[in-house]
Amino acid sequence: MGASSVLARIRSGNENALARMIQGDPILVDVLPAGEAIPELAERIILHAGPPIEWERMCGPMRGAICGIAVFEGWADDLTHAANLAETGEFQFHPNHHFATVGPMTGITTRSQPVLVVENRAFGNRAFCTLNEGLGKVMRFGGNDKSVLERLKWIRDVLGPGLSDALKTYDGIPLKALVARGLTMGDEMHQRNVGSSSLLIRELAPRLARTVRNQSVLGDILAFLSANDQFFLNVAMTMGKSIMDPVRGIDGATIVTAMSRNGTDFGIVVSGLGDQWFTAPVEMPVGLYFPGFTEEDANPDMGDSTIVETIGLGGFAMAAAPAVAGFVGAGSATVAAKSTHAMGQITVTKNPEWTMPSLDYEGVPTGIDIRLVVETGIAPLINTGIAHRNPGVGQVGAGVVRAPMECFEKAVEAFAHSMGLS
Amino acid sequence: MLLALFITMSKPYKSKTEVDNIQVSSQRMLKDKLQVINIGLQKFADDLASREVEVVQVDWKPPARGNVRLANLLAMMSDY
Amino acid sequence: MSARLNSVKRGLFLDSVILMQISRTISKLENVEDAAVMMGTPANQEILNNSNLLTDDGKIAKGGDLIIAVRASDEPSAHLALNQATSLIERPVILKEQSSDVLPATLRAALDDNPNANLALISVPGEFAAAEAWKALRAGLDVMIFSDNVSIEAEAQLKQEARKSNRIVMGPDCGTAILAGVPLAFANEVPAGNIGIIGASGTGIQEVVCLIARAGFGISHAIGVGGRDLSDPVGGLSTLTAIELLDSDPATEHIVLISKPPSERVVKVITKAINRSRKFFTVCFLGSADYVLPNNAVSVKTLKAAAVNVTKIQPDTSSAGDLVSTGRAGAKWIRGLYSGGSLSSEAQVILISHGLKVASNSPIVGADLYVEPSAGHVIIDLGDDKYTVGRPHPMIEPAVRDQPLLDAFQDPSVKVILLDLVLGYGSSLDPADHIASLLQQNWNNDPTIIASVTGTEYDPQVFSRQVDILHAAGVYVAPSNADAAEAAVKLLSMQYDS
Repeated sequence: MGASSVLARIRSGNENALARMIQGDPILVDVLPAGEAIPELAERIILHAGPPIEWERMCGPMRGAICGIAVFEGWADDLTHAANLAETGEFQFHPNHHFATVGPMTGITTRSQPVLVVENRAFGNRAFCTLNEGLGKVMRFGGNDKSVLERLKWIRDVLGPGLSDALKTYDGIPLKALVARGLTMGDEMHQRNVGSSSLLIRELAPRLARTVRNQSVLGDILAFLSANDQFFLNVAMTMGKSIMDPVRGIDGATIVTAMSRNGTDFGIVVSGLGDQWFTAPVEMPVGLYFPGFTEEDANPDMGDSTIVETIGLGGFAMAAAPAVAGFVGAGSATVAAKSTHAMGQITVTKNPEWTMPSLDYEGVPTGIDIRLVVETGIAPLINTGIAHRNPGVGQVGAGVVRAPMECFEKAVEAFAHSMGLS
Repeated sequence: MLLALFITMSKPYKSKTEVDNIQVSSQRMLKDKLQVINIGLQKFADDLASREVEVVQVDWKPPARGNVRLANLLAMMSDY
Repeated sequence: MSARLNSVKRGLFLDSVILMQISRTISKLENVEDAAVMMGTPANQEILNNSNLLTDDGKIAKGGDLIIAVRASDEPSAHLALNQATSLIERPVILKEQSSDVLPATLRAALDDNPNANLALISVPGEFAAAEAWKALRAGLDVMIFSDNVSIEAEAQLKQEARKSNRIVMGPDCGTAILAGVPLAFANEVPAGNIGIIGASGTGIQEVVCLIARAGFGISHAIGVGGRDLSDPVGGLSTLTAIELLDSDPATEHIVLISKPPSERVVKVITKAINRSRKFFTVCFLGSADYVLPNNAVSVKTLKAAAVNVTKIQPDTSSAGDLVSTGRAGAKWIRGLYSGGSLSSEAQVILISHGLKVASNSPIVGADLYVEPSAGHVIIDLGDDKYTVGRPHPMIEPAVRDQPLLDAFQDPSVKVILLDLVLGYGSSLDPADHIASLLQQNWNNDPTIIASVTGTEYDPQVFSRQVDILHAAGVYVAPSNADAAEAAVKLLSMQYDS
């Protein structure tokens, strides 16, 4: 095939992919038990963050979370029993991404956990993600003790159904506009969700007040939501997944549709290359640690939350969130703006609807192109939480991490091959 | 201009249409004001800037981390 | 036993001029035998290996990594040099971070900064230059490739694509262009005029435009096409485009075409194009036999002859100084130490035209290949790859000529030394001063030195100032390179005169 027809194919593929990204119209419509939202999610099936991985290669926190969830689901009597079952192959493991789902950090999703449901009204597809558990000792960081499981039960039995009832009274909450406002309030939707979580609660509170009959339950729900600055992170992730799924599998498109990590491998999926994962060993985040912890304690990078960078938020929108720049070790506001500009060199467009006041209302850099990443050697910048390397401890810090260049190089090779070039 | 006169007189001329029919490359390079993108030695950009020629310096690094084969594959797959 | 040390900086790229400056600084440190700072490409690793500089530490480097390699007489000196190189390397990086803007990392990003750009000037390492040129062509830009080491296949493909899309690729290995008065890369500041130049050689263009300028005439455009444009595989494609461009350029009345002798097939193509043109041509194929050219073209043998044919003015030799043989008795050879490739070719043309037997590291037809050491007339092109791997070009760094000069002073058989100084943008800022101070310390008027200066009054180095410095140092300065070579030949028959 001639070079010009290859170029024409790439050009039209990427145009199509970008149009689909920008057209996406994500609406938060419901909260449902995962088993109901994802019919394939049978007993003993465990979804996890990142590219596919077997038990033997899983990191500590992911194993911890799996043991915890097995007890929570009633598949195991205790954590030791759960580990035995996992080792003897009693559980099936699959990436969230294969089921229109994403999950933060360990990203463990099983049938009875409630999941956020975001519908992309432009294309009719739905995406799912568990609810944010709050800070401290939580399952997404590998926490699995009694307090963690008790909170999951409350989320399953009280918060999930409560949110579901409230959301059903309306035609859902449009998320694009909410994110646009969040960006002007200093959020980048990965490390900082203060503004957007508040906006979401403002939407939800009156509805909850009308649908939750028990005053004390209503108080608990509102208190839980209000105490959690990161509640919107999971919503942003679900939104990201709902936007990117219709961009998958477009012939000739070199746009990244998913970036994700399982604590062992980092993986990317590229639109024009089907559902194939291109993986490389995940890198260590660099950042700030909670008192009493150091980088010695840190687990390698983990989670599906990088879907927000895939749609131009998180590290890509760093300029919108100067407060994060310092917290995650990226330095000053000037450095934050530089980070966003650097990401502009590996993306194909700027999102006209999501703008950053600090950059004279420039749009967030959108559409990561594997060609540009490999050519420039500029790896996507990701804002991230840092988990303790041992299961059950939880979050120990926050920082930034780079997507490994090797994933993108492998993808470029495979893409060239698919175009008949060598 | 004497020179031009000399040529006119000494050389059998072609008609103007004949000359115009020859496929002529874009005259842009010689006609438009030169505006340069400099990829490589910074000194060339500095020299141009000192003469007030518009020049953008590219902060170039070997593409694909110096992997020539991959860089060439990219060149075949990139608009620019 | 000397100590070799290598250090690899991962993913660090610095431009080759900076690297060569650092290499030179380190090489001069006490007890350092040799040193080089280079990108870790396979080609560069081979160079380091051949120079006995590469160690196992350096071998792990990839193309995108930087290798610092030092060989010193003892280990502490090697360490000291390595440390110094490291600190020099880190300095430009710090400077970069201080700038508040993010520089575009790609051509694409640069075009975002200036969508009206119309020319890409490419001087990245050769193995990456073709890729950048492809991108520039696709972006609709004209292209000048200064880099060498681009494969001839890639050159041919690029030029075919350029012809299709009505663009021109100047180069690869195109050192010089002057477009509407704007000097690009190594080029001189010349007045505007009606003479257009097309050249497959950088210093050839420079010599001709400077002679024309100094005769009081001006240049419309000087278009470089690269040394291999008139070869069979490339087929003279950029020369054809350049002829078309100048043919329809109203400012151009007379076109000078300069090249090494083209292949026979390409001569036919070029001859046809000249025949189609309504402008007058002066053609200088350096070192070739005569070609049959159309009525509107004249063939000349030297760069000087090309300029004279256009201006009808002979360079004035009266201010050159007195030509006096100061060499010792028994000395009988000419030793040319050139920085300009085409200037060294022109010198060979002149020597051969006088029936002299001459050897050169880049011999023209009729000259022998120079093999060290050998007696006889020798013309060395110090800009040849053999002398410039990992080192600056002598036009950038006049010190590259120091050792060959000192060697010639020591050689009792050398009667006259021929030198060229090439001025203009890109070249070193005071080459005459460098030579003058070397002469002051190491030379007592023996052997005779004859030089020419390629430059204009408007060049940053100022032609007359460079000539004055050389005169004051006791150098005979001819008004052109061809005149310098003629003077050298004339001197051979002169007796020693104290």
